Amino acid sequence: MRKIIKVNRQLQKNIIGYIFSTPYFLFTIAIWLYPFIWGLIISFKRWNLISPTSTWVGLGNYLEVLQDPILWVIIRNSVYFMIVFVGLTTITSLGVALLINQIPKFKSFFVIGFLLSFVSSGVAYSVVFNILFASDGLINNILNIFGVKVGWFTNPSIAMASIALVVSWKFTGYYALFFLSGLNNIPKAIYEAARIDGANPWQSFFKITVPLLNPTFVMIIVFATITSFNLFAEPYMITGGGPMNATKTMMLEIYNRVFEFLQVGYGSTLAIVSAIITFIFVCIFKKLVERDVYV
Amino acid sequence: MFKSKKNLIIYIVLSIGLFFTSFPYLWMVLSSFKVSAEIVTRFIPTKLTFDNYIFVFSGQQRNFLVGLLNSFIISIIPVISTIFFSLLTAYAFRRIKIWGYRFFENFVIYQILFPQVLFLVPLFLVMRNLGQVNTYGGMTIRYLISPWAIFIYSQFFKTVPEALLESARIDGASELQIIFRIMLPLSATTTAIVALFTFMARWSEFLWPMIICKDYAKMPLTVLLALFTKGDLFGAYFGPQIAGATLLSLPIIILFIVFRKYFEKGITFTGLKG
Amino acid sequence: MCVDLKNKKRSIKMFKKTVVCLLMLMMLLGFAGITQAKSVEFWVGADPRETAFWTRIFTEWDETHPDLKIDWRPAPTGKSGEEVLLTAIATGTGPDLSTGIFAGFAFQLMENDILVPFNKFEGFEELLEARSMTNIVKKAWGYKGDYYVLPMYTNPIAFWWNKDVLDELGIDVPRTYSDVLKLAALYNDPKSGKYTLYTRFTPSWWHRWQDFCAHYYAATGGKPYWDDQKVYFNDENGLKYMEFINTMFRKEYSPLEDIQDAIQKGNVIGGINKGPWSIKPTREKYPDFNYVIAPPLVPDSFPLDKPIYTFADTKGISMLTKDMEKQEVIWEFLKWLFSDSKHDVIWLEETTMLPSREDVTTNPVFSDFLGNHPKLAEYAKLLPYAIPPPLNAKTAELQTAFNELVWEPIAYGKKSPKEALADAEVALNKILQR
Repeated sequence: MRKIIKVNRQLQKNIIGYIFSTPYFLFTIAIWLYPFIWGLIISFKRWNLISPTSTWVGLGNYLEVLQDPILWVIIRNSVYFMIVFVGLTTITSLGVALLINQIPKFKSFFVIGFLLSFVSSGVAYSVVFNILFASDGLINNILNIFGVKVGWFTNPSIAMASIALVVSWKFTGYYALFFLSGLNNIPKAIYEAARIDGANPWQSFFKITVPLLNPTFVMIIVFATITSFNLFAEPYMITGGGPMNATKTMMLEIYNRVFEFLQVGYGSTLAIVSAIITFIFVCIFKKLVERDVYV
Repeated sequence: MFKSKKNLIIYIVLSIGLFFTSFPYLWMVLSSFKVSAEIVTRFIPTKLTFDNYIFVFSGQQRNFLVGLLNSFIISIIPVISTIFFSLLTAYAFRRIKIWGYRFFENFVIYQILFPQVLFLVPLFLVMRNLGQVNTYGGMTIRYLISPWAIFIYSQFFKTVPEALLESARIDGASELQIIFRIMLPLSATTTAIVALFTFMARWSEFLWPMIICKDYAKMPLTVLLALFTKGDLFGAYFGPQIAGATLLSLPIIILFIVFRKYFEKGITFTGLKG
Repeated sequence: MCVDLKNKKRSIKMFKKTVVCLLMLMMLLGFAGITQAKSVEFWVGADPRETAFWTRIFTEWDETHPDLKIDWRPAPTGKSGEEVLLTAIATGTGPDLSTGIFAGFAFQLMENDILVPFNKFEGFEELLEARSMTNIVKKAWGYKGDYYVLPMYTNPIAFWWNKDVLDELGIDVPRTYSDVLKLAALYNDPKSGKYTLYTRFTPSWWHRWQDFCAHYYAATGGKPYWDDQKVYFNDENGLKYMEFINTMFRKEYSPLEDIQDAIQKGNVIGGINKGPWSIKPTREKYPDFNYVIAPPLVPDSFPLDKPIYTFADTKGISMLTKDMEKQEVIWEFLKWLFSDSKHDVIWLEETTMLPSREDVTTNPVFSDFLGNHPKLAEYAKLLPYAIPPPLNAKTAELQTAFNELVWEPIAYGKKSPKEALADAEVALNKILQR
C-alpha cells in the first residue's frame, strides 16, 4: 500500500513538473527547433520573400558562398579583429586586474568604475565613438597638435583595428573581473614558495600567473571569436562595413543579403556557414591556447 | 613607507585608466548639452543648452521619449515572463526531478551555447507569418523564456536543502506555493541577477528589434537612434545624436550603479560557468 | 491526503489561470498590430521639403474630397528607400501607394506582381496629356505597353563650379577631363584644404548615378551602360573616365575625406553631387556663393558640336494595392493631382526640383518661378538631354557590385582602372545571367 502511494506521489509530482515545464517545451519547439529546421531547409532554396514560390537549389547556395570573395574578406576581417581585440584586452584587462589585486582599499570602486563601459548599449557608444574619432573629431583635433592625423575609420588598413579598439573599451572591465577571480584562485602559497626559491617578480608572473590564468585566456579567446563573427551594431553604426569592406562582418553581410536584397535562402546559407566557421575557429584557438595546468 | 608609495603609484595609474575608460561617457553627457559648433572642438562647453534634447523630444515621427517607453516595454516584459517561467522550469528540473531532467538540463546548456545567428532569418519568417511584424509581440516573444535563466535558477536550486521543501510539503503547501512563497524570496539575489541582466540585454538590443519593427510608434530607442544617425536627414546632427545616446545609456547606468553588487556577482558567475 | 490532492488541484488551476492571463496580456500587446486600415495608405519621401509639398497638397485634397480618405505619411527610414519598401512589402506592412520609385525598381516590383498598371484605368491617356508628360512616360517608363509609374520629378545631374575661383584663375568652366587636370595643376593644394573636384567615394550604390552613369551617358551620347543581358561599360569610354577618376584620387585632386558643403566652402572648385534640391538650402546658408551649372565632363576627343547628355535622377508614384475600392480612390487622387499644373508649381516652390513635364521651360505657369530661380532654369535647359537609368530589376545589386569591384578599389588605389572594369564586367554579367 505504501509503495503504491509512493509511486502515486512520484507520478503526481512528475505530472506537475511536466506541467510546469510545458511552457519551456513549447517554447523550445516553437521558437527554437522549428525555426532551426526551417532555417536549414531554406538554405537549400532560393527565395526573395515577396513571391509565394521558391526554387530548390540544393547545395547551390553553399557553393556560391564558398566561391564568393566576400567570404574570405570577412574571415580576414574577423581574424584581424580577434588579434587586435584579444591583444588589447589582455593587456588592459589583465593590467587592471593585477593592479586592483594589489590595492588594499577601494577595490570595489575601481571594479565598478571599469565595469561602467560594459553596460553601454552598442548603438549608444558607437554614436559617441563615431563622432569622437571622426576625421575632424575631438581625438584628431588633439592629435593634430602633434601634427598627426589618423583615419581611424576611413583608412581601410586600420578601420577594423579601430573597431576592435572600441569593442575592447567595452570589455575591459568585464574581462578584468574574470582575471580578478582567476587571480584570486591562485593560492598565495605558490608565490611564497617561488619567492623563497629566489624567483623575481617577472619570473613569478610569467611562470606562475600567466599559466594559471590559462582558463581565463581560453574563455576570452572563445568569446572574442564568437563576438567577431557576430559583430553588427558597431560596424553598422560607424562604418557601414566599409571602407572597402574592411569592417564587413558576417552578421552585416547576412543582414544586407536578407533585408536589402531579399535573398532569404542565401542569407540562411550564410548563417549556417558562419556558425560552422565560428565553431572551427573556436576549436582551433582552443587547441592552440588551452593547456592543462597543474597547481 | 615603501609599500604605501607603491600603492600610491598604483592608485594613480588606476585612476588615470579609469579616467580614460569613463572619458567617452563624460564627453557624451557634457556634449549633449553643448552647442553644435563646440561638440568636436572643446571638451568643456562654454555655454549649456537644452536644444539637443528639445530636438529629439519634439520630432514628429521620431520622438525619443516614445522610444524610451518602447525600450522599457520590451525590456520589462521578458523580465517578468523569464523569471516566472524559468523559476517553474528550473524547479521542475532540479527539485521535482522530472523524468529525463538530466537530459533537459544538458540541453539547456546546449541552447545557451548555440549560435544565435541561425535563428535570425527563420525567426523573422515565423514572426512574419504570425503577423507579428511591427508589434511588441514580434520583439518580445522569442525572449519570453531564457535557457540561461533556467540554468542560473538550476544552480540556485542546487543549494536549497531538501529538508526545507519537505517541511513545507508536510505543512500542506502545494508545489506552486512552495515555488512562489518560499523559493522566490529565497532566491532574491539570483532573481535580481536574472532580472538585471535580462533587462540590460533587452534594453541594449538592436539587431532583432530593427529587423522586426519599422514602425516609429513602437520601435525601441536603440533602433530609433540608429535610424536617426544613419539616415540621410540627420546624419550630421551630432548634438541630437549624442543626446539620444545619453538617453539610451543613462537608465542602464543608473540601474547599474544602484544594483552594482548584483551585476558584479552575475558576471563572475557567468564566467565560472565556462 | 485528500486535502493534499485538493490543494494541488487548486494550485494547478491557479497556475493555468496565470499562464493564460500572461499569454492574453502579451497577445493584446502583440496583436495590437493587427488592425485593418480601411483608408488608403500613402508613403512619401522622408525629406522635409517633400513633406511640406504633400502637406499643402493634402490640405487642398481633404477640403475638396473629404470622403476620399488618404492616410499619408513619410516612409520609415532605412539605408535606402527601396530597401524600406521591399521589406515592408515582404512583411505585409507595405503601403497602398508610394513615391520614390525609379524605373528599375518598378521593374523589380512588377516582376513580383506587386504593382498595378495605370493604363488599365480610364482616362490614362488624358492624364498624360493634361500634365504634358506623354512622351516622357511612353519613352522611359513602360514595359510591354503597360505603365506602372507616374514620374513625379526629373533632376538632370550637373556640375556645380565655383565661379569666383574660376574667375580668379581666369579659366573657363571645365568641359573635358584635361580641362580639370589643368585646373588642378593651378589650384590644388591639399595641405591648405584646397582640392579640385569633389568625387564621392563612399559606397552608396545610388551615388554612382551621379558620377559614373552620368559621365558614361555624356561620353557615349546617351548609350546605356548595361541592359538586362550584359554590361557595356567596359569600353574605352568607361576606361577613360575611370582613368580620369583614378588620377584625381592618386594626385589628391579629390579629397578622400567627407567634407560637408565642400563646394560652397571653397574646399573644392566643383562637384557633381549637388542637385536642384540643394539650390534652396545653398541660397539660405551661403547667399554669397557664386556658381555655375554645367553638364558632365567629356573626354578630350569629344566633338565640340555634339550635345552632352547626362543622367536623369527621376522617380515617381506607383500603386501597390490590389483592393478595387482603394484603387478607385487612388486613381481619382492621381488624376486630380496631375491634371492641375498649379500643383507642379507648388512642387517647384517646396522642393526646387523639376517636375517631369515636357513644358517646364515653355509653360507660362512656371516662368515666374524659373525667372526667380535662374539656377533652376539652367537645370531645366538640360532636361531634354537627361536620360533615366536603364530598365533593370537588379539595379541596386549591380551598382553595389560595381562599387566593390571598381569604385572603391580605384578610390583607394588598390586596382588599376583596366583591371577593375574587367573584373566588374565578369561579375556583373554573372549577376545579370542569374
